[in-house]
Amino acid sequence: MKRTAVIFIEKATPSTITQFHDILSTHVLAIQEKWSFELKTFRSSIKNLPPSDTKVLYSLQLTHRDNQTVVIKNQSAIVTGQHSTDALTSNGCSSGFPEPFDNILTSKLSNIWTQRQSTKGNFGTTYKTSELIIRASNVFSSSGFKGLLLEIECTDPVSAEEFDRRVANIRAMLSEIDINDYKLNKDEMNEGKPVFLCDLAYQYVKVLD
Amino acid sequence: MVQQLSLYSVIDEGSFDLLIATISALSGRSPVLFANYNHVAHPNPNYAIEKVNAKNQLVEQTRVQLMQEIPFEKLQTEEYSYKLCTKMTGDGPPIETEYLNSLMRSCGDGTRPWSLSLWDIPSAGKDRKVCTQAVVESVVTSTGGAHSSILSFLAELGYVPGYQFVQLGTQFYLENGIVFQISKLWALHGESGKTSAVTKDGFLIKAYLNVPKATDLESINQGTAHLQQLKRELRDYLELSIPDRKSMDSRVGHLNDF
Repeated sequence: MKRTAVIFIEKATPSTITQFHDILSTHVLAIQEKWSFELKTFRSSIKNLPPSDTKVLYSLQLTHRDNQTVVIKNQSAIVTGQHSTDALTSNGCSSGFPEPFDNILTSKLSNIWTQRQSTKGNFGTTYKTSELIIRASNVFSSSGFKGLLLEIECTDPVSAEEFDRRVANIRAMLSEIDINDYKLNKDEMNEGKPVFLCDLAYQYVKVLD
Repeated sequence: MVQQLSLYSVIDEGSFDLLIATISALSGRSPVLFANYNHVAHPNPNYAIEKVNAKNQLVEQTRVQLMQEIPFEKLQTEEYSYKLCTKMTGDGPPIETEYLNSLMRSCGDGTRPWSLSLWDIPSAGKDRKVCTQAVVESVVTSTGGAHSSILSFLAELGYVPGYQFVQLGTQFYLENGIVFQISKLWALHGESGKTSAVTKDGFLIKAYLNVPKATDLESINQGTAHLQQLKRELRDYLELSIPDRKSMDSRVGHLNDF
């Protein structure tokens, strides 16, 4: 089972990523692909929504996960892909040309859902160390620089404790460059029932929102 | 947005074998079996939903269609070929309704991908040669969260279940990308397990092809020409025609409401 955690450093400057690069560089085995993400926030425009209902819906697209999009609302999430399956197309279910779900939200469902914000990280760097894959990107919104985001992934089948230890190493490096104030999340959306991509998106939402 | 170009017809049950023979001879291809489950959801009627979005553009409430293939091992038959179609004369499909009713709630590892689509009303115009309908589609590959099912997600989105049906039939992949479907439809009436045949004593015929982009006029014109050609070839035998576009309107609150 893959484990992930997401860190967001709001108090970073645009050059913190360089400092992080320098301190991490002695551990890096390889620098891998560039990556990007976009988190969109939508608000319900239903006037008489019960007060108990959540009004916000998130969609997160990740280029390094085959451009898949995760949509989260309250306790439910879906993953939409860039490709259809043979079983769907050959049984007359799919046209074979699917789009990310946020395209539908901003077009056909824009009477129910209004896009409020877009938070992006473009051309981030991917570092592979002996223990982890770390993706770092500066984060921007329409109002400008927001901070530094780190996505930490462990592809080895390790225990939660071992994963925590590896994440602690990263935290130690952050504290070496005087970064101690940040949000970290490694929760599962449904505790005890991991669903990889949904959980990762949930972690993005928790630290960025 | 994908454009689907299509023509429709119907035949009675007695004509099935001859149609299969005709299309086989015409195309040199073999018929293959296909089956799908359809769930149509509509916006929650308790919600006050405006007809315009935040940019003041008109956006009408539209139904959402969810489709998933039915694996052949779920068909209650010994015959996995087009011949199955001649035996489907009853009020129900040869598939357990319990299984069908569980699909929308299924979660976890057993979940197979869903196609989620929203259809426009077919294009208007007197001189239409084929039915042209725009569709936007997403493929949902998995669900997550404490309420992990496509049904829970639709509820969060603001949609409630509408109606369900099953389509089972046989299809040919013709030249030029045309799919020629001969199928039966059954409506499912919820948890009661009741079903009824929509295409009693007959089959629905649909010949269609998909053009990935609405702006690709050349492909649309070519596809239209290919469907016209098919229509001409079958002229003396089958009348492929354009249905009333209002009957294919998936917007809520129009004349077609049930």
